[in-house]
Amino acid sequence: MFYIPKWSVFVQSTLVILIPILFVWVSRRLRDSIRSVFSLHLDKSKNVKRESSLSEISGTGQYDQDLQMLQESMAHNADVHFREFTIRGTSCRAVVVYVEGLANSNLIDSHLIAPLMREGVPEADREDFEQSSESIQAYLESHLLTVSHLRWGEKLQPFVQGVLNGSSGLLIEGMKGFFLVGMAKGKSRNVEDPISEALLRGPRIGFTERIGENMGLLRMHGKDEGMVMKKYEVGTRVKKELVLIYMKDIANQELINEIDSRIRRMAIDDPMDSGYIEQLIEDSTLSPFQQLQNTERPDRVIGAILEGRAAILLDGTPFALIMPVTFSMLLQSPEDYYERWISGSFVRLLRFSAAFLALWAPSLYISFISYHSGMIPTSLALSIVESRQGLPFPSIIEAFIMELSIEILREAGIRLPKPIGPAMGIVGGLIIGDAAVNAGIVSPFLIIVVAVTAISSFTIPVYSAGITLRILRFTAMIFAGIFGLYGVIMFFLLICSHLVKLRSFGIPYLSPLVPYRFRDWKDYVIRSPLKILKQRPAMLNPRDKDRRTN
Amino acid sequence: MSRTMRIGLMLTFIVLQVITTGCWGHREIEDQSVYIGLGLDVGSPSKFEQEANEQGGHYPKMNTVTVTVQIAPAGSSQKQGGQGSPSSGSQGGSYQNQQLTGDSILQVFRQFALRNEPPLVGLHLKVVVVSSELAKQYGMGQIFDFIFRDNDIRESCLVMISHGKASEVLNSQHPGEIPAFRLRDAHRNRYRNQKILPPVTLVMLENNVRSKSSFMLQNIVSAEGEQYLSGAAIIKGETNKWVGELSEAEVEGLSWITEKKLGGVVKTYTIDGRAITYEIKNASAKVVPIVSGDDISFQIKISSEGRLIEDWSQPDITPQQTTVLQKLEEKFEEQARKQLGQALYKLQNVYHTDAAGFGEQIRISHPKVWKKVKDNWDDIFSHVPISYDIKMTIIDYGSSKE
Repeated sequence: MFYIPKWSVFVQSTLVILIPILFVWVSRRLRDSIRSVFSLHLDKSKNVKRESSLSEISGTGQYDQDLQMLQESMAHNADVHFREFTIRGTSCRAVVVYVEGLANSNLIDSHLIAPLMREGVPEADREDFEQSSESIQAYLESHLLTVSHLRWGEKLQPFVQGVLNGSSGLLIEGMKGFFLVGMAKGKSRNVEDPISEALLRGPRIGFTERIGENMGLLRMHGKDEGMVMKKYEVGTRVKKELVLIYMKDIANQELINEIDSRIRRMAIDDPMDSGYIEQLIEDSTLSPFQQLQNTERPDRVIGAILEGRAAILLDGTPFALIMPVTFSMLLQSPEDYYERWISGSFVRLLRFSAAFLALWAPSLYISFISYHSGMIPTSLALSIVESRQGLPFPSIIEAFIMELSIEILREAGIRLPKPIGPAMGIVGGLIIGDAAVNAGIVSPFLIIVVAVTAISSFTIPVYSAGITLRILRFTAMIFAGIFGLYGVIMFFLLICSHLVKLRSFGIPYLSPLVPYRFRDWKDYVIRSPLKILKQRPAMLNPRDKDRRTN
Repeated sequence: MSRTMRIGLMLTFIVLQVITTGCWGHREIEDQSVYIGLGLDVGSPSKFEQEANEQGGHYPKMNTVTVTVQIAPAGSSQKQGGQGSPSSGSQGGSYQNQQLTGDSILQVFRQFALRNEPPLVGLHLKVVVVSSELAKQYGMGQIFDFIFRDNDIRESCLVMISHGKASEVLNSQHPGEIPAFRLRDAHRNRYRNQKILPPVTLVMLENNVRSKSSFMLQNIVSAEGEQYLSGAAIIKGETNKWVGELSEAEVEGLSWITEKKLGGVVKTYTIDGRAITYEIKNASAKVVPIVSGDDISFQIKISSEGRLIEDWSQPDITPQQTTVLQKLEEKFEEQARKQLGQALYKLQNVYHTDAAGFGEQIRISHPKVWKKVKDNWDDIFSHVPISYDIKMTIIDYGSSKE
């Protein structure tokens, strides 16, 4: 006789098979639908080109006609100014077109108007000058326009765009095209200490909103001719400059090609911040983990590209993007390398354990209190019982109340004006916490857990990684509330299985842990002495593996 | 159906999966009664039970065992009343003793649910105290059967025997002190006093009970509401029942061979009756079983080093002379030999049990012989000749000057 199990066993085993299949199917459908909504590609069928009346028009060479055309296309803008004058020594009329507040007025006054009006064309050269459109252009370029940044074009559209972007336009009678002189001199701020990534030791320079300055900062930092700065124009409507930076002889070419193709495929009207770029070119939209790292620190960017990574700068934001990202990077700080290796390793270990606390402490608290009271040491258990006598809520609700109020406080702290911030922190943290305990809503033990969690999450050097851990912490708390420690472990496995599958630009997110590469562990949880760190991380497959060669 | 609706439905189903599951294993820590001590006595219904019985509060049972559970902290009554007196059974302190009588320990535990709201949880049980009376009537295997089986109770829980009533041992006069914790921590003083037996946990007890070997358990007496560790209770392997006690001095004598690290003292008297004391710094003992044919005998060799730490004689003994020193050493040796001899005599001739682990030595060194003798080892042990030799050396006299 065979043993035939009861029908319930069959049902259970069918469920065991079906549920994962269903789960995979649902997540795949979800991923596909999201991918189709936020597609990198332009939808071909809807690809309607914006009609531009200017695109085909070019300069005629007739001064009055050209001037009228310019005025028609730009004069309705209140900030566009036309300054007409005559070039000294000739009868040529000229007009300078510029945008107030954006164009460099010093440059216009002293290098455009001054030479043309004061010096002009001497008697001897007059004939050469007036010969043709080309001769006027050549003479101006070689004798009169004492500026470095000079562009020439016959089409009207780039000229209008250039003027509106802050260059000064120059139109001269008898010339068949337009000059664009100089670049925008919009308002910019000083180079300051990066606010979101302050360090005690190391350079106190942060990026600004001007891409030119940022590129300059990088050049200043890494004086190496191997550094490539590849320029792209992104944004379908508002054109923005984007620069891809990498080390020509270090970075893996496949990686660069992949990034290049993703940037080219990106389609959006206006990438306002590098966050837009990050979200448009990342691998997994559904993952809670960031796959590009944002930073304000030039030294971080240099460090990354020296390891064989690449970085993206976008005009108008002080945040550069570093890719590919591995999980360990989010818990590492440049300071680890500036300090000696013992203190660097210690701080790094501290940060890893703090990240663990920030993620798991409240959920462990909930599962110990609500499910596994036997796992608490007896004397501690007794004092917890005593402190929790008469509390109205189960630990999950209690923990949610306190964690949510801490998150609200943190969010409020960002918005508050600087002088009120600390006062608010004291009111929120100390007074509310104390009052909640006294009112018998939460137990004092939970306050400790919540405080430790909040402080731990501030030790994470990358702010957005901290947000990820906060979100996951709440999920872990729900799991702990429903299943206890079993749920926490299941959630841990869920995160692990997700992280193992996650890739950032082809690099496994958990490397060098998975896939296991012991050589790279020298710079993982422990930061080995620099004398040992002779090799670049192998996970990035760099062209030049040795840090010591030049 | 539009795409957004479809995604919305999918998300709803996923969320439903989570929120429709219940928190089924959920038991908040404050909603449980954590009992940390357990006392087992011969059944005698308490006043409460008698009164309840008169009003018809009873169920079919025999009064075999009275169970005392020590619950800490004393519960919500204490929180409200501040330092007020806790409810029935205890006299002050942050614990609460509750008693019920019955014939099945689990049923008695469940019966507690009729009395106080939070259910009893044995996860933090630290000490089980059995009264010698109960252990005399029932074997340890019977008494502890439920406790061995219960999967809440940890194996590291300690087991002790009380000379009097176990419920009295679980009381304390000192406010704020929890008797169960005191009993649990008592064996930590062993490095100061060798009259304390090594702790016996539930695992070790079960081991001994199942292998039917004799063993000793810490004996506790209580006086004026305070516990006092006094001597050892002897459990005979054959029946697993209590057969008698060893006095403090005998436990001290036996400790030469049962303990690995000694931290005690040896006191003896000079010829004119003044006390002199030897502090043991280290000691090593070797029990050598000698088997020749069917004859088994044991040879015990003990050597110890220590210091002369106290001397009441007048005038002081001048230890410079080696002859004096030797005489002193002989005195101490004689005292130790007397204590050990007395203990061995009691084990062999009064209780006829091997509670000191001689059988274990045979089992290790002569496993074949052990197989033959193990079934009635206690009887054989009673007639085995044991010779012992103690060598004590005084190596210093403390830090006092001449």
